[in-house]
Amino acid sequence: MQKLEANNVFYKKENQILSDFSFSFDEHLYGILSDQQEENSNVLKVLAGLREPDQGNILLDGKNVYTTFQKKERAIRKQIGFVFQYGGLLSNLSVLENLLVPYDFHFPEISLGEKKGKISGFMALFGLSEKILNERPAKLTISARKALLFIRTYLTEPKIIFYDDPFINCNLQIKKTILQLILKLKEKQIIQIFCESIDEQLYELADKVILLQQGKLYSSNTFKEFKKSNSEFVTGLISKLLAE
Amino acid sequence: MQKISFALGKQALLSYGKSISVFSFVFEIIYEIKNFFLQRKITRLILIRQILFTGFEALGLITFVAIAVGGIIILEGSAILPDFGQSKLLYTILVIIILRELGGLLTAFIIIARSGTAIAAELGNMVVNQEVESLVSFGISPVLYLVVPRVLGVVLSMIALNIYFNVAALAGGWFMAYLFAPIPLLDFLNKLFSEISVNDIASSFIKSLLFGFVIAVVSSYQGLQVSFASTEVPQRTIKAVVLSLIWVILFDIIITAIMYLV
Repeated sequence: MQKLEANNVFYKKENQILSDFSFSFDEHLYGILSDQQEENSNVLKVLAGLREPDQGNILLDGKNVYTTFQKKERAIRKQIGFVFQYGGLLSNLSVLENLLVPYDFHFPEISLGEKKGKISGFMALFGLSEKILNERPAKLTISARKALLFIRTYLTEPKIIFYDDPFINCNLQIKKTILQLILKLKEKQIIQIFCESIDEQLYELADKVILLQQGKLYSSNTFKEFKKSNSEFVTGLISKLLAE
Repeated sequence: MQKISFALGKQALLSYGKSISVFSFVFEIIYEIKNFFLQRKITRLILIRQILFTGFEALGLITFVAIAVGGIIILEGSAILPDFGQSKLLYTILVIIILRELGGLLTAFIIIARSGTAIAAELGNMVVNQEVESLVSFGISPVLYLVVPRVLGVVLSMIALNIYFNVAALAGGWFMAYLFAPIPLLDFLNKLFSEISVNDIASSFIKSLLFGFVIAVVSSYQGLQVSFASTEVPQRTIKAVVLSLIWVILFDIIITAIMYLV
């Protein structure tokens, strides 16, 4: 069973974003809800090993996820996927070249034809025309660009996926597809961790929601249970999310 | 080796917002050159595009500047040297100025203006748009994927353009000489080649190699130093130009001094 473990993690920028945060993520869908919503991206990036914690560590199968990149341990990095909130597509490459960058890097043994076939499948699933494969990302709609971030991540079949505001900039069809895919991966017991600031739907589906108060772990439970809570902090966080 | 690279290059890859040492950066580039050839499948395209942009697309401007400079040297030399009874030094001066000095320097200046600025601005914008961070998330080193192909592309283009500049400038010199005092091409070439030494060629080659490396490294480093705002991009681009100019001139002085000492 795969596990991602955060051990006494501290991370500070202007504010204390994570403070003595410890949590063990196993093969489920997790939502993180914080009173510092603007720092959601940083929380996910620290957990994904993209930012170095000031103290503590994040371990995947006993290996520090931050240093795996530094040590070029490709096998570990291959298992981690990150869907960015915005940007992230290489602007000087075509859509196809963009999708092939991580795919070629992690799976050089797979033929180009096979890769293109899988890409076509995902394009159809998201309702995207294959004509855009030769376009640069700047020519596409924001919604299509967002969908491509998901496709690029799903292509390499990571074992842990981080979603930074997955529904932002998505049209209805793409949002629906993303939801279906997340649920499918949930059945496959892939570790999925997300932060979402405009929609409570995904929190409803999450196996566990982690509440952060000034970077500290406040509590973790299902969203349904949190909705019943009388705590001022919890009701405040939920009403803020619902208000969005 | 990997451990040393890890220790020295640690900050160079992920901490765009933090200040990193140029030394770590250069070390990481040298380390990743080996991996570049192992990862040709994803890096080849970037290298080809860099050579096309820095080398091929600069040919027009290089041709114009080189022919003009070669012609001007002959023009000025023919006007001044006879007054001192030193007409025979014309070819020596042409070779020294073009091969040893101006060829490399002017090519470097053109590359700084075209490619140095482009590299710094492009990488800076890539940091702002989270493109660099997305590479990190795949486990791809930004130095391997973004910097090494640019460094190799600029170095190869610089060497090729420098040779081209020298040939074009010498041709410009002959053309100008022919206009004022028609001289057969063969005579011109004979006189010219009798003045060219191995030292001149070595100096020209070493300079172009070093200048290319310095321009690409300084520009890439400055581009990746952008942390999050697009307003930082022009600031870093200007810094890349200024520092590239300073380093190129410093290296030029050092190599010229060494060549005269050898």
